[in-house]
Amino acid sequence: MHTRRGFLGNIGAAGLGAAWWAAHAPAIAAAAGHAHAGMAAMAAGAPPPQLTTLSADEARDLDELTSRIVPSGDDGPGAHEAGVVYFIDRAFGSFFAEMRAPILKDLGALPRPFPDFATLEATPLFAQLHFLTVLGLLADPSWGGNRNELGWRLLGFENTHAYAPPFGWYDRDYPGFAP
Amino acid sequence: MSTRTYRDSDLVDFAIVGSGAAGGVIARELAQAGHSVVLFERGPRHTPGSFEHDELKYYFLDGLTNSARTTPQSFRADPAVDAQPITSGLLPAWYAQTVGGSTTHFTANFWRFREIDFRERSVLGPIAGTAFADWPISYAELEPYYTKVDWEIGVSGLAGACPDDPPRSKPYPMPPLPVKSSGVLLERGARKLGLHPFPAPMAIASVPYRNRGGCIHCGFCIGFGCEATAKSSTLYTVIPEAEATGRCEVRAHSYVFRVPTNDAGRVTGVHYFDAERRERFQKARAVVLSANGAETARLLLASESARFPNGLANSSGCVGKHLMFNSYSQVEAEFEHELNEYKSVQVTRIVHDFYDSDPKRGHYGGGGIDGRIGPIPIVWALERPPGEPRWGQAYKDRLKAFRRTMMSTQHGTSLPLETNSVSLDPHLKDAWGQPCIRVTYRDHPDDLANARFLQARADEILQAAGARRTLRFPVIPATNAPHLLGTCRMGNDPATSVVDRHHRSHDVRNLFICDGSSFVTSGRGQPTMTIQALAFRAGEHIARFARANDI
Repeated sequence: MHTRRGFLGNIGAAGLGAAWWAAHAPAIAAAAGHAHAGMAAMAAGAPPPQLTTLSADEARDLDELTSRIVPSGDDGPGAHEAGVVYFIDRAFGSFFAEMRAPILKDLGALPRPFPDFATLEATPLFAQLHFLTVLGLLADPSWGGNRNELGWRLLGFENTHAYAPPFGWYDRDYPGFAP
Repeated sequence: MSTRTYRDSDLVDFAIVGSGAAGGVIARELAQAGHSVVLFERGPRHTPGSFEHDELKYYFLDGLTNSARTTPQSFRADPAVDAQPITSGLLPAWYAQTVGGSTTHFTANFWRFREIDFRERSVLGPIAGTAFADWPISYAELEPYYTKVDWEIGVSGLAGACPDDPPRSKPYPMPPLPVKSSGVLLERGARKLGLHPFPAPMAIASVPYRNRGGCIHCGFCIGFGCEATAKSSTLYTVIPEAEATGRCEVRAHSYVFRVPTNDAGRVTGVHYFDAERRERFQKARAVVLSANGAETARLLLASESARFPNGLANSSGCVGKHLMFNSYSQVEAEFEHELNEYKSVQVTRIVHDFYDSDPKRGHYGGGGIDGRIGPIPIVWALERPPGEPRWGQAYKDRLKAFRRTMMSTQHGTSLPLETNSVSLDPHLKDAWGQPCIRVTYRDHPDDLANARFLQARADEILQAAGARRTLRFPVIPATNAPHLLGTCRMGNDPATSVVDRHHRSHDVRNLFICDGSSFVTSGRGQPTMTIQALAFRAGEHIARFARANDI
């Protein structure tokens, strides 16, 4: 197989280890359960889940920044509606705990109001936030984000276990292979 | 799960290190030939039901692969400088650490090498500054074993579909997988340009095969285990058959860290850590290393002794050297209508018209072009090349083009260079206190030129297919790869190779080595088919030696 070479390799703190995984698996399972419960509660019209690792100010800042990466709009929901900040809150308390301190430190050092993203884009903080936004938008909802599969719906990705041909517009009328 | 277990004190015939593409095959061949075998695997054993469609788990939490947290590696492009430790993120030598090895999570592209791959040095002549060499075996010698892989492992494809296909003694056992939109478009574009696209041979069951289910087109192949058992992993094919003999034990969670030798210069078994990190020793009459092109070399180098001061089986000095990754490039294309590439297997059509090297191009090299998924959601959304929007409405618009997007990737040659290597990092230790892999790698300029050449051809194909927009990802020097080739190269001369044409190490009579490390040249990417053909052949020869009491 070929995995993605180069670009993914630049995401520094993204990879966390098997030993860490083994040590934290029960916590993650609990977090995942929590996420499911939170989603069920939201579906029932209940208030959103409580923050566990972020302060209200940090959550508000992260919500603003991640919403600039994938904005909400008339064309569909963005990072805010997908609950990316709740994913980050969960991640910082469990599976990406190591990312918490450096990100919050950089976040605290940002001038207010936040600089334009054209400036911010070259910073390590942007790379980390972009990473977390994408994961919070598109990872399996059991990890605490991608609320109601809004991220998947934005892409048009379906969470279906099996498919049958035809798969897309171009293979519908394929006449069969002729050498 | 194993049908037979051995004690450490039992003198088994073979200790095989690594249960992946090669180790699984050799275990079955030796067990079926009547030998006692312990197949060591450092990772856990998964069952089909334990595989999930979870990108975060497998791509970012090392759900199936080696982990930088417990086994860091280091990397440098320049052999004259200290390597940088890699303690998080993607490792330079990246592979699946689980029973079945990387055959559990691979994409399953199963291209045979061609006749030219084995004798290219003779045909093209030497290339200055490289260790470009012929293989000691020919395509014709390997052909029966390629056919064995087709049938025993299970490959879907269409014989004769490619006009330049190497000779084959039997057709594929299963028809090709159903074409996807990416395949139709690649085929359409390539034909407009007078090229010869054909159905991709894949080690995925297109129909139920030998007690395994056919593909359910879930789309989660690359980086994922197959819950449908359709992917022809050794986990689902030869390993259960080895166990069914009653002579093979698969020992998971067992990390072999040293292969000791006695006064006669013979290996005596393997030292390993069990799941509780206790040091143990399994006695064996002979040892087979199939731990992959990085770990096999590491293990040999870490097994140095007074008798073998440069590492075991390393009198040539070649252990760890001539590492080859396969050159690589990619083009993304957006079309008017939906392709829905997230469905079904990753690749359904390929183009091999640029397989051979051509001096007119101004560089050595050749390769293949595929049409494929443009990949799964998270990786696709993260992987935006420089200059592409990564935030705001423009980025959101890109995300919304997911269903209309495909990728073509290009797989090609890497030249064997003495300076590209796996060695022991002098400082870094893993969680077990063992020396870590240091990767030194800098693509030969011809390899990068070849990647750019193939990328330009793929771009033309996609444009001819009617793409609204194509995007060439920058061809950058490789810093990591899942293809780990050439580090214990095969050859007739003990001064310039590590194993002989039967995969016996030149230096140690009862030590055999067979995996990607055996490669002399890189082929054109997609090495697993050839690793497994070599493994079937090696298994047959090793069994013959054992019968003759010559191990």
